[in-house]
Amino acid sequence: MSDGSAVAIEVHDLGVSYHHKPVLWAVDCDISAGEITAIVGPNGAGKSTLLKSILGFLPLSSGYVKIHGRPASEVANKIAYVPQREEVDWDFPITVHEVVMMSRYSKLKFFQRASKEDRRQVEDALRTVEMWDYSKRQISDLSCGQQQRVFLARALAQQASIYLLDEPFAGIDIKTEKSMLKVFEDLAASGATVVCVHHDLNTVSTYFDSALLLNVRKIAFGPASTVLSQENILKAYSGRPQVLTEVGERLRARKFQKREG
Amino acid sequence: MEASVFLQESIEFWTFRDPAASWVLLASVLLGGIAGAVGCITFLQKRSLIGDALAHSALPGVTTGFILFSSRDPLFVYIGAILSCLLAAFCIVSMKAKTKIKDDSALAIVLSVFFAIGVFQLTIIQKNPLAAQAGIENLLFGKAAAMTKDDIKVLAGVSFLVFSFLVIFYQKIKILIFDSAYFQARGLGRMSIFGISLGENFFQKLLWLLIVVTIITGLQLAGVVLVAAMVLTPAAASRFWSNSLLRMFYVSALFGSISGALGAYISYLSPAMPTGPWMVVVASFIFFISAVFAPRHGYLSRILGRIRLKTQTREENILRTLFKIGEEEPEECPSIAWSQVARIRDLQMSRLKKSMSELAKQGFLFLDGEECRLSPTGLARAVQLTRFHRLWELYLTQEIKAPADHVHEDAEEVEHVITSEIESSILESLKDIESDPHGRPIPEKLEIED
Repeated sequence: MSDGSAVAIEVHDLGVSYHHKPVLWAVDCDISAGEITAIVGPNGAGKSTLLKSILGFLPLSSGYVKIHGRPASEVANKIAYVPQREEVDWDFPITVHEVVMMSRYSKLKFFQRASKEDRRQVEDALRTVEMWDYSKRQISDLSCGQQQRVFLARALAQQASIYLLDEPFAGIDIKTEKSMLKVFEDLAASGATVVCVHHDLNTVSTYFDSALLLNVRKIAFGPASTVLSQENILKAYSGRPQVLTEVGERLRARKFQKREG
Repeated sequence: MEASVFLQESIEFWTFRDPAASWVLLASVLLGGIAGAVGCITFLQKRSLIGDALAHSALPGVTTGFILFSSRDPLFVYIGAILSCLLAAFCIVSMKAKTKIKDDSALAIVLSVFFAIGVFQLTIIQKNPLAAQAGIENLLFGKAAAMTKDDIKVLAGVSFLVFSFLVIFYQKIKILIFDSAYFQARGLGRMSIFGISLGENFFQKLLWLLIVVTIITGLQLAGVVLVAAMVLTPAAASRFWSNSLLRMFYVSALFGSISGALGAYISYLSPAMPTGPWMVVVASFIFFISAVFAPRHGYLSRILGRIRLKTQTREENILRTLFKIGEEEPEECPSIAWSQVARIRDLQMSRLKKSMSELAKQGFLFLDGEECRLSPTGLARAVQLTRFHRLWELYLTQEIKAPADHVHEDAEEVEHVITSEIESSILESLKDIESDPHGRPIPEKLEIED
């Protein structure tokens, strides 16, 4: 932890397995409110998996995650999630406005009729990401950066306190990247917690307050500038410890017939 | 069929004078409607084959129910079919989750195993005189005429339930299909009744049940083999006409109902032809028409769009060529022979003629016999295109360090797509915009005076 500010997300001894093969081992970190935190690491390090386990999607093989001291399922409406681009069907017949309106879904509303307040929030969010002029457009007609901004708007309109974004900067131009970062900074300044899976090591220390360096286990966690030391990066990117991989494979093989590939 | 008989029967059918035919009509319209609407869900989830697999998997449920209870009561048929479909769905989902078998193989395996068991039981049952009487074998290809009043009551009830479900949960369905990860993150699959939690992914299970019920309802009308087409085809056709999920639901339900009505009508005119297959034929016809003629998404409109683009490119190229020739002359906008343009652009005279007169009509050109001259608006447009062309060449040489002889071909294309927004960001990153990489000046934008 960087300073004494409140812990927003407490990840404790988190372990996750896919098909009995462990993909995350004993991850610990306390993510502070009011900060922008990066999750970095090589491909297959378990970055998205960590994000999804914070959301409570995945069965944990060990440990727990608490959000403001409570399980994620109890505070689902306070967590805004932006999935990875690949998980969304971009051909879907839907307008920008409709996508952002999704954030206003509430169990209490009859037939999900949008209230004045809902419309105002959606408009505010779209204006913040400079996409209001596009609200009637089909999502499939937008560029990659515009789509990403619409998704950010959807997260904003939810008025959440925790923002979890899976590679928000993937495939977008530098201008969009800067303007999205500005939005994150404003969120953090207002006391919200922003966590991004990020793939560009060069920008970590300038964009983020804290960073978690990951490769199936925690390599380092702390202020972004100190986490990315030469030594830590080497440790994260020079492959996984062979013992972890081997034990993982054996765990899987014990449950399944071992197959080729 | 004689014209008068045809007319008389048509009037009889559409004025609902024949009660039996009217029941069949009602059933076909209802089924077409719900199958069409529900089909949008599986279509957009890219799981269209699920319908086929589930329909085939219903068969052993029905036959087992009949063997156990010797009854054709819709209740038994329904329960048997639902159980067997849900078992099939469970097999498909867990095969995907727990083994390395992919979606399509899992569907194919489940479909064929369940169907084989059903057919096997069917051959046993057919020896039973009660079964022949009950028309169990009609389930294979469907027989609308054999539907009893009870069947139709059940169908009406199910239709009401399905439509209510779609109306109440429209938003949830939309979020789930569009972005299931987000759906999960918001915990929208969680449902509870009277405070009792029904589990994390209850809504997804409910949606499966909806699809299963719709398919089973269609069995008697369209049969195991064809009901999947009624789920898939109207939905696929409606996608060509819709830019929103709501509209897609409407249009698909409408297409399904029209197919149902026409299927029943054709079958009434010539009773040898069954309703179910005709429903499918009509739906396929609607699909074909949609795929070809639908505005914007249809094949024809896309071809027209491409032709329009090509024509526009050709016209813009002519303007630019005229400008380039004129650049070397002392006089502004000199008269230029057509043949010169044709030679430079390598164009057939007939094509050139057409483009020229089109350009003249739009006020870009003045025509004078075999010669032509740029008008002020034509000049402005040509200057803009030339400017884009040369700016792009410059951008490529400066920004990505392409050699000067590599950039012309690329710019020939790009000049047609650059917007003033792109222009300003190109200008931002360029240092020196005096001349292009070939040493020709980059013209300043012209303001047109009226």
